[in-house]
Amino acid sequence: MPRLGSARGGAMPLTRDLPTGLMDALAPLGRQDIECAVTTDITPDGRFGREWLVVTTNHLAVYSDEAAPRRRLHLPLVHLRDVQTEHLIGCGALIGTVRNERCEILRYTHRHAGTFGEVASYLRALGPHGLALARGGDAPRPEFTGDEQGERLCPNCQRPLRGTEKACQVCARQGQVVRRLAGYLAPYRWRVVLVTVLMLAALALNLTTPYLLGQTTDFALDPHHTLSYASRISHLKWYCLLMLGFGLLAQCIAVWRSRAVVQLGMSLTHDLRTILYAHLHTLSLHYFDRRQIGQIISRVTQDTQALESVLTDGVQFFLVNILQLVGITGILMWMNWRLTLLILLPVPFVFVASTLFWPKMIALWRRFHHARGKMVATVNDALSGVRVIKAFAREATEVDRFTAMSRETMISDLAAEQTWSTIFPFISYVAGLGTLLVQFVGGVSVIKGDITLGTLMAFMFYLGMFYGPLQFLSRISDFMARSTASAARIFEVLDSVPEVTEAPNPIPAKHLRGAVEFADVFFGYDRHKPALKGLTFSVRPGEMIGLVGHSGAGKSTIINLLCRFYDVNQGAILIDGIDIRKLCKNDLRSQIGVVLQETYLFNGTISENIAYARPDAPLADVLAAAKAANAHQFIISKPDGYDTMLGERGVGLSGGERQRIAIARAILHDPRILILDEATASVDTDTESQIQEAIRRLTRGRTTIAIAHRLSTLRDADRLLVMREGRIAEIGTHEELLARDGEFARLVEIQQGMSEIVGV
Amino acid sequence: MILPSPTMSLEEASGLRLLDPARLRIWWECASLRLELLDESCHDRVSVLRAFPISKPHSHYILRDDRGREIGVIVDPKRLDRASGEAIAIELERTYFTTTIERIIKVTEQFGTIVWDVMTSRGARQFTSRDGRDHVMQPTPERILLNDIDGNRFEVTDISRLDHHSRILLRNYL
Repeated sequence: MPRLGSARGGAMPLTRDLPTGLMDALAPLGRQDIECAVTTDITPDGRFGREWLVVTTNHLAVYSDEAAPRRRLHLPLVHLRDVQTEHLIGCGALIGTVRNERCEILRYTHRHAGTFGEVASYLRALGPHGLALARGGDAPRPEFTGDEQGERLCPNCQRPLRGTEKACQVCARQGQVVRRLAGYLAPYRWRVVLVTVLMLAALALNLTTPYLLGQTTDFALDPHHTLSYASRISHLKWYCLLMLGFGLLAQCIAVWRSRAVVQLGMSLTHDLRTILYAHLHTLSLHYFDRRQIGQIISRVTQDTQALESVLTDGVQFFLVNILQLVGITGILMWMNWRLTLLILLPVPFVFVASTLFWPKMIALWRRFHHARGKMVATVNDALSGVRVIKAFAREATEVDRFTAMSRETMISDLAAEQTWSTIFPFISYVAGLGTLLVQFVGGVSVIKGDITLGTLMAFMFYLGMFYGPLQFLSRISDFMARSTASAARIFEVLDSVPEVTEAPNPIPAKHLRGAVEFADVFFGYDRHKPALKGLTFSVRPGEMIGLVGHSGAGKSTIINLLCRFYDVNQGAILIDGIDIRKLCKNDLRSQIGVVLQETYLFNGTISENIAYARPDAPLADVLAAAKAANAHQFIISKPDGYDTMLGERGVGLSGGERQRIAIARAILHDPRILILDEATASVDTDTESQIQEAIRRLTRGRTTIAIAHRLSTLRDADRLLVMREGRIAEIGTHEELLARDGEFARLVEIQQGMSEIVGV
Repeated sequence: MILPSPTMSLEEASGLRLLDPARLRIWWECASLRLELLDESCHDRVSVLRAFPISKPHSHYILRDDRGREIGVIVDPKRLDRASGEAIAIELERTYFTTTIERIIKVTEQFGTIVWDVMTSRGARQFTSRDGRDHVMQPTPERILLNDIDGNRFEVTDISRLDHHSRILLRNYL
């Protein structure tokens, strides 16, 4: 009977669910250990069904048919080479080379893509070991460390669990959301107490008014009362004064409460926004790749606002309304329980109608917001592309498109408003029927002399304060749902864990020499789709390397990994012989300078933009850096010189000017390793030569890795690295590569052909 | 700092020339600003620009010759001799025509524009700026620069030194 993963003294995560039938089928393999066993969900004939991939010490096997397992494929590991995953549409395949022949090991749906990405890395790592085994050597055997991504589900809601998380975040969140929210209120607990006390006080004072009105009626206004004229006037005066005083006090308290609530709300929003924004900056680029920036912005701005409204207004209104309802019911019961029961008669109807009405209203409003959003997007789209519209004479089409959107907005808004104005008065009317009943039955009691007129009047006033909170409470579930959704979106960000993390004891690197080495680097933005496949090369300090290749060949990925925006999946990147994952992240980045294709300039002055990485740099250095970047002349020619504002509210700069500011920024930053990404891609020849000159000044003495589509611009590079599909196709100097007449020579030929066409 | 040669400064590498105020002389002659770099050269019809006209208006002057070529930068003009300093001040006053607002009399809003009636260092003036914040720059909390629709600039050097009425009007339209 084979033992599971016993080589490491514990069961492998993926082997624990091995079915008994398969275990029996594995028995004839003898006493070999199972290193890895994973399941797929497509059979070779393309039907859904389970197959098992089992890797033992020396073999790889695929078993099909779970009930009566049959070995479909059996390969000795020493013959298996170059295992890759192939990303197909709707599914993927694990491919290997056996005795120089390509062979499909199995196929899987995307649910298992992550797992088989790991399996492929593991099998590739086994490659050298297999060779060592064949030669009788004793190389350390790699271990399968694949996680169970895509296979583990939340026991509660059956959502797939990510990474190593133990509980589904959605389930965990729903339970914790209120507690977590309360956590953010903790620093302000005394303010919360104050607000609550003020709220209760204002409520109590408000509740006295109808009672006092009733008393006024009975003791002062009732014409049949036996009290003397003077005494009745005195009663009237005192009750009015009392009501005046209570009203004023209630108003003061309400103002105080509102001010306290606003302050609480603003502080809370500020806290949440800051925490959220600070956390966003700790996250890796992976997080931003997967999301739209607009979405993240709305979390920082709108969701925090929504949450603030829940925590302050929402909780407050909820409490006020509940207490008001309870308080009034109590008072009414105490005054006259029979009449109270009459009031409660329409309550079920109001509650049910509101409960039914609100979801419909929300759906209508959502439709309206959606339509309006689309309309705004259309305007934005069209006005941003107004040149194209004019160039192709599509104005009329655009107007038609907008008219359609505007009509849709009008129709949806109309539907919402008309529904509202139809149903809402009706509900109000039915709610008012309670008042009518009380009026009638109470009126009869007054005529009979069972209750006083004052009691009836107080009753009527309380009734006015009764139905409002009732309607609010019918909306509470919707209100809570919307706010927990906002909260969940915020917590999703706060719960995201940065993927590129600082090593526990990072090695400080204040002064690097700039030797860069890629050692068998595998990396994919999705782990199962490698963008770099076993990349190995080294760059000497001060050397300039040009990266060449088609788009998607992996050039930008090399740069992203070197900046440690992402971590490699396999292999390592070394700077001065140290793995960059062990280097202090800030030190690493402070010694890497980038000039990117799309120069990002911040809102601020030109000098602030140049000194972005070194805000404390002497101004003379800023001037010198701009001069070295050939930017000084055009900056000085602007009225505000280096104080010219850039960005949204500032002046527009041309592509070449932006590039030169970015180069000045890099010169002032003075990095040991410099990265240039298509720095001259979109500028005219004159500007390009100015930029080239600036770049030559910048790269002198620095390790430089440059990407350029125009191959002529890489003439200064010491060596060129030609990339093809995530691998190095060729490496050498410009002349060597031309002489070799390979990929590079072909690319040069194509470009010369292109420039001839352009020349014509 | 990593430079082509360890002995070379960033200034040298970039070709930026910092002028020593002690070794130059500037004066007006025949309506032309002249510059003499002692023991070196003499320039006629020199023009002076501020590198940082807003944030550092009194440092980093750039001197250019009659053909617009840069002669050098005076980082600290305070070290110039008095006559040279005054000569440069005249040229700067001519080049940078800014008006300081001393009092705001009236502000009216009209169809997306704002009409300002102000008393300035150069006398009473009415100017129109666009609505919104695009026409305002606030380099420091106290200092405000307003651009009118023709591109003229009006400056409030210190808000706190304006009278109460002007401050309120300014705050309403910022």
